[in-house]
Amino acid sequence: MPDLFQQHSPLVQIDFGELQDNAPTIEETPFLGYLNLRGKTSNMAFVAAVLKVLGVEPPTTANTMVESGDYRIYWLGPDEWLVITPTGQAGKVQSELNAELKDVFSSIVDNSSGLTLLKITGENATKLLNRDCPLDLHPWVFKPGQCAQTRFAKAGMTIAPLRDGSGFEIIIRRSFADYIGLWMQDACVEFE
Amino acid sequence: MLLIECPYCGERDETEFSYAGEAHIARPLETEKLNDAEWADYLFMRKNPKGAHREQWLHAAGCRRYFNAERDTVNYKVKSTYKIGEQS
Repeated sequence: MPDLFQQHSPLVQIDFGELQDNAPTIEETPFLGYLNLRGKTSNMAFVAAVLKVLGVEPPTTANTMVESGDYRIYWLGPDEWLVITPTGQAGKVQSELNAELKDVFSSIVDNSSGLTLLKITGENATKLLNRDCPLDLHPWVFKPGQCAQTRFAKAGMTIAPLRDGSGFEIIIRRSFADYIGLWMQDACVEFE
Repeated sequence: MLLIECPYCGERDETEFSYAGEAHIARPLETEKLNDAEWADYLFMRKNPKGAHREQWLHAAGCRRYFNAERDTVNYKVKSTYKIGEQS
């Protein structure tokens, strides 16, 4: 268990507080837990184990996510999911899943130190993201409950609309966070 | 901008995909009985058709799954895509 007081956000050097007046609001939620979960939904034991630990079955519809209490589960592939847990809980959830899935063909990998989450809200949020994201982010097409893996400014990201329709959350690699942060700051210059 | 239909994710931008070679090349079952020419044929020799071509593609920036596509090499139209193990 890492000491949280020793952790630094990957965006510690970037100040999103002083963007242009009409720029979307960009906020980082650092230090969440991220688990990469793999298994076959055709195996009932796998589904039952996930249901027992996380309180919900892994979503089988492509590009959808489900919420269960403090946990969120993103569909990443037909046999792959991203489980987001509150800060400091990834280890606990991982060991619970490991115990339940001991004899089941599956894998759980803790990715917590490799990813970070940004919330982009405000009326120009879609405009900012579509500066270099090929996905159609219009609310008619991309609704809350859906998620997608795509690219932003050539770096990989997982994106989902926020429930209240105010914007999006994007999950990016920690190693690309500084680059994406600077890219967004620069892209916001036009929203004066 | 070209849209390619991933059999899992649906239509996505071409930049999310990468090409992964000719599809439907089965590995010979008894490789120890092959001579060098037959082995080289399996390893290296690929079709280079002008027109319809069956290929493997990878949804690299999306679900990271391989799938098969039938693409016309003349006009780059992707006629169909289907999962590995399926027939179009």
